[in-house]
Amino acid sequence: MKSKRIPKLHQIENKLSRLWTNREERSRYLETEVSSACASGSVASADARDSADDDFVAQIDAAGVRLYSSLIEIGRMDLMSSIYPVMEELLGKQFKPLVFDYFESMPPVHYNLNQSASRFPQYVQGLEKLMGRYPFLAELADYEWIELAVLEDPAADNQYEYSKSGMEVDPSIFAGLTPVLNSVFIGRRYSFAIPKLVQEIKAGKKLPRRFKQEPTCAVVYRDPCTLDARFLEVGEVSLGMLETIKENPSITYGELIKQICGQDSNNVQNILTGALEAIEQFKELKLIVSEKPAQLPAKEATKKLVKKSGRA
Amino acid sequence: MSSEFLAAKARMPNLGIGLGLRRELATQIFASSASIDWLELVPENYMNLGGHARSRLDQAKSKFPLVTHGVNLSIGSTDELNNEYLHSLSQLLDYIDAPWWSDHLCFTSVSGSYMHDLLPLPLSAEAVNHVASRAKSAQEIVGRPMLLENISYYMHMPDSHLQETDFICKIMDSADCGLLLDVNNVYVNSVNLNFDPYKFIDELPLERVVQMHVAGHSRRDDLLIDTHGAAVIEPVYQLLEYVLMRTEVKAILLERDQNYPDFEDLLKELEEIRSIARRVQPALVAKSGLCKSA
Repeated sequence: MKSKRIPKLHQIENKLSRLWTNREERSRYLETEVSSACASGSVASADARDSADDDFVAQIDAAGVRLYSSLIEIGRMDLMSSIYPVMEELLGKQFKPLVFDYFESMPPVHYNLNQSASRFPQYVQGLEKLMGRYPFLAELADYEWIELAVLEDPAADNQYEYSKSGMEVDPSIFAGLTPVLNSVFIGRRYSFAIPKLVQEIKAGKKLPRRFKQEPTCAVVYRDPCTLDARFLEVGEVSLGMLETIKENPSITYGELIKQICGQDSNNVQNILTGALEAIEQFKELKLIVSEKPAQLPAKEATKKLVKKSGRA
Repeated sequence: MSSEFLAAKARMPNLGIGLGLRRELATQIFASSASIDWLELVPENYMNLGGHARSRLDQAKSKFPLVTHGVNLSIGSTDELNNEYLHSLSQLLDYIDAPWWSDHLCFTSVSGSYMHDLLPLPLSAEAVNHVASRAKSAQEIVGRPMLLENISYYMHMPDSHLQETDFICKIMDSADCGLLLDVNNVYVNSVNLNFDPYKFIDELPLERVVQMHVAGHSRRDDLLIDTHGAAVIEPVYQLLEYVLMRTEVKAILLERDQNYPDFEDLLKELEEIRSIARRVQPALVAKSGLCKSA
C-alpha cells in the first residue's frame, strides 16, 4: 500500500506555479481532471495525474487553477500591450500567443513588473519563422523597449542650462569646452528603418511582403525638463559623436571634432560643418545639456558662457 | 508574552485617512492635500527608478506622510529572501522615513520566477513556520515595523488544515509583526467561501492591526474579485466600523487601482471613511489635523 507523504510547501508552490503559468501542463492537468472526475464521479486520483507530483495534486482545485492562470495572463497581456503597442498592432491575433510563449520561455526574474518585458526583443530574435516574415521584428521590439528603459532609468536628470542666445560662444573658447551629455540616452544602429516603420504601422499602412534593409541610427533619450522620452533619427556621424562623448566625458569640442574629421581626410570641410551643426542641434534638443571648461564644474562654465554671449 | 511590535505600535503616529498613490491620480492627489492625510505607495514602482517615478515620489514626499505597501516581498515563497529587494526597499523607506511598511501574506514567486500576482498559501503548520521565520528576518533586515495583509483568494490550497484566522494569528505571534487588515478582502472571502465576516474578525489578533484597507470589488461569474476597481459598498464600511470599535488603528487607506471615477467621488469615499472614524475612533482623525467639527 502506498504510504501518504506530507506535501511540502515548495512542492505545492512549484506545482501550482507551473499549472498557473504553463499552458501545456495546465491543459494536461485539466483534461485528466475532467476524465478522472467522469470515471470516478469524484475528484481525480493522484495516480491518474502525475505520480511524481504526490498526493496533494488530488487536492488541487481545478476552478482555482483556471481562475489564477487567467488573472496572471490578463496581467501579462496588459503589461505587454502597454510596452509593445506597435508590435501588437502589427501582429494582431498572433501577439497574444507570442506573449504567452515568451513568458513560458523566459519567466520574469525581477520583482519589478515592467522588467518582465525586458527580454522580449531577445526572445523575438530567436523566432526563425516570425523573423522570416518580419525581419525587423526584434529591432522593433528593442525600439519599443528602450522607451521604457529611458523613462525609468534611475540616473538623475542633469539640469538643462541653455537658452537659445546662450549658445553663442566665441570660437576660441568653444574648442576648449567639454560638452555635458544628457544623462539618459540610448543610441541604436538598426538594419531596418525602424522609426519609419513604426509610423507606418501606427498609421495602419499596408506593409510590403518583403522588407529591404535600410540602416538607420536612432537615439532615444529623456527630456530633462519634461521627463518624457524623445525619439530622434540621426546620421551615423552624429550618433558616433554622441557615443564618443559618452565614452569620454572629458573630451573637448576641439578633440571631438578632430577625431570626427580624422575619419575621412578627403571630406574634412563637410564633416566639420556637419559636426558643428549637429552640436547646435544636440543643444537645442537637450542631448547636450551644458558645457564646462575641462577643470570647472558645469554650472560655473555655463555662467562664463552666458556672460560671453552678452546675457546677464 | 512581551511583544516588541506592540510596544512599537504604541509609539506609531496616527496617520489618519489616506489614499493609494497611483500615477493616473497623482496630479489630483497632489492638489488635494487638504482632504487626504497620507499616501501609500507601491515600492516596486519607485525602487531604483528615475524620471517621472522619482519626480512623483519627491512631490508626494514634500506634501504627505508616506508608507509603502509592497507586492513582491513574496513572504511565503520557498525561495531565499531577495536581499537585493530588501536593500532597495530599505533605501526607499529611509528616504521617505516611513513609520512602518507592509506587504501581503502570500507568495508571488517560486524557483526564481515571479508571477506578479498575490497567490494564496496552504493554511498549514509548515507554511506558518516558514512565513514567520522569513517575516522575522525581513523585519530585522529592514529595521522598521512590518505589517502583513490578509489577502483575498479564490481557491482552496492543498495541505490546508488550519482555519485562516489561526494561520494569521500564529504567524503574527511567531514573527511578532503587525496586521494590515483589509476589510474588503474579508468581505470578498466571506461571500466566496461562505463564512461570517464578523466572526472572522473576532478571531483575528486585532491588537496587532496598525493599518486598514478599504476598497471596492467586482463580480466575475459566481465570484467576487478584489479588483480595487469599483466603489466601496456599505457592508465593507460596516466591517470597517466594527473593527474600529474593537481596536485602535493608526491609519486607514482607500485603495483604488483601476476604472477610476471622478476624483470627487474618491474624495467622497474618503469623507465617508473619515466620518466613520470620527464617530467611533476620533483620535485617529483628530491628530491628522483634518477633523472637522461636528
